[in-house]
Amino acid sequence: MENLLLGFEVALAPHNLLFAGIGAVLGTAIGVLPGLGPPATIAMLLPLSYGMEPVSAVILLAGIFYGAMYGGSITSILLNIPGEAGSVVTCLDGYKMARQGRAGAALGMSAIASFIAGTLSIVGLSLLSPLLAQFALRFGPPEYFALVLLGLYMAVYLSQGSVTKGLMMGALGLLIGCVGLDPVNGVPRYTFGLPRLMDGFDFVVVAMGLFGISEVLSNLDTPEQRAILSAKITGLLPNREDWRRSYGAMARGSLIGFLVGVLPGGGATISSFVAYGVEKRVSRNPEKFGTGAIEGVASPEAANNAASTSSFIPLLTLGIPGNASIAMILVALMIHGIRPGPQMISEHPDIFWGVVASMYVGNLMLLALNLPLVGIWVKLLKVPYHYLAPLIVVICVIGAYSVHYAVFDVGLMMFFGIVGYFMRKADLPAAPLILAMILGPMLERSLQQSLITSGGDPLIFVRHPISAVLLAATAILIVLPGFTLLRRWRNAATAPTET
Amino acid sequence: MNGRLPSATAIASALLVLIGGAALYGAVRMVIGTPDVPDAGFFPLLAALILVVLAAVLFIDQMRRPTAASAEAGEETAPSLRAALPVIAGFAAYVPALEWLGFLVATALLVALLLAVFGIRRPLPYAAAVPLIAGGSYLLFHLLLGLPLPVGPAGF
Amino acid sequence: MRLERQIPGAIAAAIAVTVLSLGTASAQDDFPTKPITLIIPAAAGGSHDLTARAVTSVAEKYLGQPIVVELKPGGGGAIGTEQVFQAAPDGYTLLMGGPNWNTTLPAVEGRSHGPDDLAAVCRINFSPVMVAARLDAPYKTFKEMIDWAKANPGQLVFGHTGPWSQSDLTWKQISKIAGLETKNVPHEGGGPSTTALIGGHIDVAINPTTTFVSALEAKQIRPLAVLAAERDPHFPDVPTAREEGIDVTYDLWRGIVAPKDTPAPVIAKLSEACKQMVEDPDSVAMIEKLGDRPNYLSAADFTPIWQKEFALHKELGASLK
Repeated sequence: MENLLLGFEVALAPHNLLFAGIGAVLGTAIGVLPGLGPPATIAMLLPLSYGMEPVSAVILLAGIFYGAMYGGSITSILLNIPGEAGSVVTCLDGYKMARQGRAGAALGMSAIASFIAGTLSIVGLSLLSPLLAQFALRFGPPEYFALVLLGLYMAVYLSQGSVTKGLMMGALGLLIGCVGLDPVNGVPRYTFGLPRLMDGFDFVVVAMGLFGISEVLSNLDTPEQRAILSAKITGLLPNREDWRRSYGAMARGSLIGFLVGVLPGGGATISSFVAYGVEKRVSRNPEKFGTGAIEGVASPEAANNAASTSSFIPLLTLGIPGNASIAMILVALMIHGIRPGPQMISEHPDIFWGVVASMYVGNLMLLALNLPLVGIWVKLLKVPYHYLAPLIVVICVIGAYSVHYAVFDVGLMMFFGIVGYFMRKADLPAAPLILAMILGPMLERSLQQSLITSGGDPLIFVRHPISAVLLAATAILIVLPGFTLLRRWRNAATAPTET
Repeated sequence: MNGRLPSATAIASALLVLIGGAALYGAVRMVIGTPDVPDAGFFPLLAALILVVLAAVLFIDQMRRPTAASAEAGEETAPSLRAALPVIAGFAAYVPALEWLGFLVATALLVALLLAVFGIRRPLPYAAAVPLIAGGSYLLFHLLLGLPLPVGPAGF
Repeated sequence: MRLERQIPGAIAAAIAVTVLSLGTASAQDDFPTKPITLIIPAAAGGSHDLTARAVTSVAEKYLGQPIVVELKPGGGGAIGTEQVFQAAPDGYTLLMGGPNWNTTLPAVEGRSHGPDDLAAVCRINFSPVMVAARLDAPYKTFKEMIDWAKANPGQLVFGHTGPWSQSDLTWKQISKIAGLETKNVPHEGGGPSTTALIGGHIDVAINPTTTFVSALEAKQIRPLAVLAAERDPHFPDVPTAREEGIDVTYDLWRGIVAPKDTPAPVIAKLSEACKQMVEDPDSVAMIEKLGDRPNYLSAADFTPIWQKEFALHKELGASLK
C-alpha cells in the first residue's frame, strides 16, 4: 500500500498536523456549544481555506466535521440535550448513566467507541471505497424510503415503554415535520400565514426545548433527585464489566454506521438509531436499554462516528456530497480546481490518501483530546443544580436564538419545552417525536419519487431487491414482539389470576 | 369510569385526537393528488390518520384501566404543577421581555426567577449568581464570540 | 489671547466636529460595516452555490467586509427568496437570484418573488442548460430520445429539480412541442438529479453544464443536447436542441438581488463591487474551473432583461399549465 504511505507522508507534515489539530479542537468545541453546527462553521472557514493547499484545506474542514461528532455527545450525556441529530439516541442511556453518577464511564466510552469506530471505518474506506461508491449509487427512491422507514421504526422501538405511545409520538413527529413548505411543490402547509413557519421547525430549537427546557421544568418537581445528580461520581472511565458488554455493540455499531453513512442524505442520523435499535434487539436484556446501559452509549456513538467517516466516500469517489458539511468540503475542493470523482484516486492520489491518512491522525488526536477532558466535564456535574439549571436555560436560549437570530425561535423553544414537560408527565417519549420530525421530509420525498416513478404502483418497493430486503427486515422486527406478546397473553389467560 | 380524575395519559391522548383531527382537516383541504402523482396533502393525511387512530386507541384504553396500572406504566397519577407553574409563566414572559428589554436584562430577570424557584434565597449567592450567569454568557457569546443577541432600548 | 484660553475652545470645536460628523455620516456612506449575508435558495454544490462562492471569495477586497454565503434550499427556491424578501432593506441580506425562483415561479404560480418585488443588484453570468441521459439508455442522441419517448408514452422517467425550475419548464416546453407524455420525478436540486441520473434511477435530466461537468468528464452520463442558440465551446460535439429539431432555449442566469426598498446608493455600491468581484482574476479563474464564464450586467442593464423574461414566462406558463 504505497499509496497509504504516501498519504501518511502528507498527513504527518507539520502544517497538516497543525490543521488536523485545529480542526479537531474546533470541531469538538462546536459540537459542545449549542446552535452553531459543523456545516455553518465549515462554511465560515471556507474563505480562509482558499489560500491553503487543497489537502490542508480538506484536512482542516474534515477535522471540524468529525470533531463535532465527538463534541455533540458531551451535551447529550451531561445535560440530556442532543448537540445534533446523530446524538439524540446517546441521550437515552448516556444521560441516565450520568444521573447514576457514571458520567465518566459514559463520556469515556463515547470517546473510545468513536475512536475505534472511526478507525475501523477508515480501514474500510481505504480498502472498499470504489465498491461502496457503487453500492451508494444503487440507492434510489424506493431504497431510501425503505431505509428511512426502518429508521423510523427503530426510532419508535428504541423508546422505553408502550409501543403505542412511541408510535403515536412518531406520527405526531411526522406531522410536525410537515409544517413548512412541502418538499416537492413548495406549497405552504400548516403555516397559518406566518412566514417564519414556512421554514418549518428547526432541529436545534425543538431539541433544546423538548430535551433541555423540559428537563429543567421536570426537575423542579423532584428536589430529592437533584441531589443525586451532584452527589456520587463513581470512577472516571469505563470498567471491565462495561468493556465486556460493549465489544459487540461497538462492532455492530461501527458496521452499521459505516454502511448507512455511505448513503448520501441518510448518514449519521439514521445510523445512530438503527444501531441502537439493533443492539436493543440482539441484547439479552433489552429492558435495560434506556435505564443507563453502557451498550446504549457505545452503539450509537460508534455508529455516528463510523458514518461521519464513511460519508466521505461518495464525495471522494463520485464527487457526490452526502450532507451539508461534506458539500462544503466539495466546494472547497472545487474552488481549488479539484473535481472529486472517479478519477480522483488516479489524478490526485496525494489528496485522496492524504485526507484518508489524516483521518487516522485526526481520530487519534480527538481521543487524546477528549479522554483527559472527561475529568473536567464530570467536575462540571458537581455544580449544585440550582446554579446549573439557569445556566442550561441560558445556553438553550442562545442556541435557539442563534439559528435565525429570531426571538420567535426562543418562544418556539419554550413552547416545546412546556410541551415536553407535559409529555413527561404522561410518559410520552420525546425521542421518536424529534427523530420522526427529522425523517418525515426524507420519507415523504422518497415516497413521492417512488410513486411517481412507478406510476402509483406500490409494488415498486418490493420489486427493487434492496428495498424489499429492508422492508422485510422492518416487517420482521415489527412482527416478532407480536408473537411474544401473544404468547404472554395466552399464558396469562390460562394462569390463575393473582389476588 | 370510577369518578376519579383522568390520568395524564388520558388527557394527552384526548388532546392528540383533537390535534390529529385538526391536522386531518387541514390535510384534506390541501391538494391530495393521486397515488401516481401525489401532492402536498398526501403525506400529512396519512400521518394525521395514524395519529388520530393511535391517540383514540390510547384514550379508550386509558379510560378503561384502573389508576394503579397506569402508575405502573411510569406516569404520575396526580400530576402536580405547583412548582413548575411560576417557571412556565416566567418562560412565557421571557420571550416578549427578550424582544423589548434585550438579552442582558431579560435573562438576568429570568435567572433571578429560576434561582428563587430552585431554592436560593440568601442574598449573597443571589447577587453573585445572577450577574455571573446572565452577564457571563452575554460576555462570552455576544462580546467575545460576536454572536448577535437581542438588544434592548438601552443598546445592550 | 493666551494658549490656555484657546484650548477649551479648540477642544469644544474638535468635539463638535466629531459629533457632527458622526451624526451626519449615514449608514449608507459607511456601508457595509458588518458582513453581508448572501442567501442561496438552492442545494449545496449546485451551480448557484459554486458560482456564488467563487465570486464572493474576493468580496472583502472590494467591499471591506466579507460576504457570507448561506444555503437555504427548499420550495424550488421559494423559501430562501421569501427570507430575503422579508429581510430589512439595508443591503445586508441579499439573494443569489436565478430564473427558477425569481422569474418562472412568481410569473407562473405567484409564489416566490420576481422583478416587481425585488431589486436587481447585478447579473454575474449565465450558463446554457444541457439535456443528458443515463448511460445505458436505449437512445444515444436527442432525436432518438424524443422518438423513443413518443413511441413509449408514460414510460420515460424525467428528473426535474423543482416545480417550474429550469429543468421543469424546459422539459414542459419540449414535451409540448414534441407531444411527449413522461413521468416527472422531483429532486431537491441539480446535484441530486445528477446523482439519480448516474445511478440510473431516472432516464433523462436537464441541468446547467456546470452541474453536469464532473459526470460528463467521468463519462457517467451521456450528453444529448444543449438548450442554447449555439453550441457550447466547452462541449463542441453536443448539438443544440434546435439542430435536433426542437427549438427550446434557456439561459440560466445567476445574479444578486436585494429586497425591494433597498436604498439606491447601497445598490449602486453593491453593483459596482459586484462588477469588480466578477472581473477579479482569482474569481474568473475559479469560475472557469467550474466550466463557466463571467458575464456581468449592472442593475440598470439587467433589470429590463429580467422584466422581459418575467413577461415571457408568464405567457409560457399559461400555455403550459
